[in-house]
Amino acid sequence: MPDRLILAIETNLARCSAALVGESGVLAQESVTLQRGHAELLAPMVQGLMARVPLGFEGLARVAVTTGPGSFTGVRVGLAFARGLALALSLPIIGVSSLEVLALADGESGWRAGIIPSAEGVFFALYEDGQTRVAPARLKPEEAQAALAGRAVRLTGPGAALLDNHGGAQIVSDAPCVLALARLAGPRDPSCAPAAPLYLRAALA
Amino acid sequence: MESKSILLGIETSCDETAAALVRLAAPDGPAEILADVVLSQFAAHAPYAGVVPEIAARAHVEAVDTVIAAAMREAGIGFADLSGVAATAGPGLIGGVLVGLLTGKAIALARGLPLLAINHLEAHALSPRLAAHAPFPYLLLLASGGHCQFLAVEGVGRARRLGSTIDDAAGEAFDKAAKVLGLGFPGGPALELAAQSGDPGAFALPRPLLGRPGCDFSFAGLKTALARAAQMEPLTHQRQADLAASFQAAVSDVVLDRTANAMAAFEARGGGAAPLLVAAGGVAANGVLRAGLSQFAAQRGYDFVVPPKRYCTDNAAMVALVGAERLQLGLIDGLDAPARPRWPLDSEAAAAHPTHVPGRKGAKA
Repeated sequence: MPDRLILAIETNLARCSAALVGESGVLAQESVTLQRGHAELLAPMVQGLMARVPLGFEGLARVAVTTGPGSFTGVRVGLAFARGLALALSLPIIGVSSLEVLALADGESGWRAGIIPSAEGVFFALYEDGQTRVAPARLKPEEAQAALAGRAVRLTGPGAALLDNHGGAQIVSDAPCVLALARLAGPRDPSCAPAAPLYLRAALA
Repeated sequence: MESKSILLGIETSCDETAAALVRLAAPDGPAEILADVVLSQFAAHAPYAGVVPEIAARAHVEAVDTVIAAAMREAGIGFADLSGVAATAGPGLIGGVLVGLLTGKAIALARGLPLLAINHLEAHALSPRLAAHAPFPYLLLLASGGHCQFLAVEGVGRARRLGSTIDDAAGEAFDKAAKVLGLGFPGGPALELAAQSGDPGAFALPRPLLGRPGCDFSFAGLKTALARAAQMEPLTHQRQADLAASFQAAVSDVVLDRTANAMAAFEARGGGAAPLLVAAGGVAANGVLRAGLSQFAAQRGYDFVVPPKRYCTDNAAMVALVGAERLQLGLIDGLDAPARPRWPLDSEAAAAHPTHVPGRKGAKA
């Protein structure tokens, strides 16, 4: 029985990343740091990954993608591409918030939060043992600070140094980890994890 | 011979999310439209009396895959039946263009199909070939919300720009005129309807560039004059209709005057033995303009073709058709094809005579 593979795609922030992950582990991954140009890079990157597995697209079982928040364009590039793949291959697609992928990048135990600076405040989400405690939202820094409630929350993301997290770890990273996305999306029910954009900002600011 | 050349077309460059399936049996042959689905975002933009780019991009990404699925169902085919995927890659509102192009890249990659990154202007330029026999070369008036230009269309990938607007596009002028007259959005159809009960001679509005050499356009002065006239007295129903009719008459006069010069330029390039004038783009759906152009073309010994209304406005059938024609010529694009907010069809003419101030990003169209 060949490995059933997940193709994970992440383009929300300052990286363009894709990975092929199976039950036996990571088969292939690529990640490039960039501010713009996700739209040119993504398709050739995925083409390169798929060429490394014998079955190609036929071996895929599902597609996973980050849904934002992040750059509006980056969010749409990933979603449009992932949804196009899912349509053309009749595959289930799973969307996971960039904040959840950041927060749960290296595990799920204890209190963890994802944080991304935004134009007016921060994008923030808080988890306890993998359960959502504060769903992804745009908050004022003081509101995010209050949500920590004095706990030593493990903070991950481009904004990890923005809050006082009472001695918890601050892991400043430029973008969600595509392998964490694949891990979170693997067991998830597609009907409960739609690949729909999460902008958290109005179209007309 | 049974041809398998079926192209999926995807169009997301402005405020229509569209997908179509077109079969082209042979180059220059008749196109068979197997499905043609257009989802208009008009209601989302109506409160702003214009297209808001971020609203458009958001609507495209929510809808484009289901629109494609609907087109596939309508055609009764599967992805395995396709020969290629054609997606508009510009010019247009970049957020929306990216959505359609990335979706197209994904389908092409997943199904091992060639990708064709289509210039939206070329799609309009070839759109008459969807429904009529329109052999190359022909003289094209492309008048839409984003563009207003004359092109000598000499083949696939071979269009020469003869003239272009130096300020607003014709459709933009219609939209803005409708806005100052309080007629709603999109402005073209609303203004045309209001004009039916108006007197086209009621107001002497300016006719920019009338009688001047060349076949460029200008609509800014006309638009300003209309706005001033609209503000002078209370806008009664009749006054609204008279202003709409007078505006439409002014646009029509300018277009016919410019067309005469464009015909001369077209003929100077060799023209064609049985010359053909084609009007495309959303503004070509205007009945008064169509009638005027038809009569004028007949006077000048030109055949005249206007695509049916649904192919004048943005649609994906025209994108699929250009894809099919380009595929037959082997003009395939890479999966790294960029989305281009600015992409003149005739880059040489646009660089040599930039009618839009080009700016650091280069000529628009």
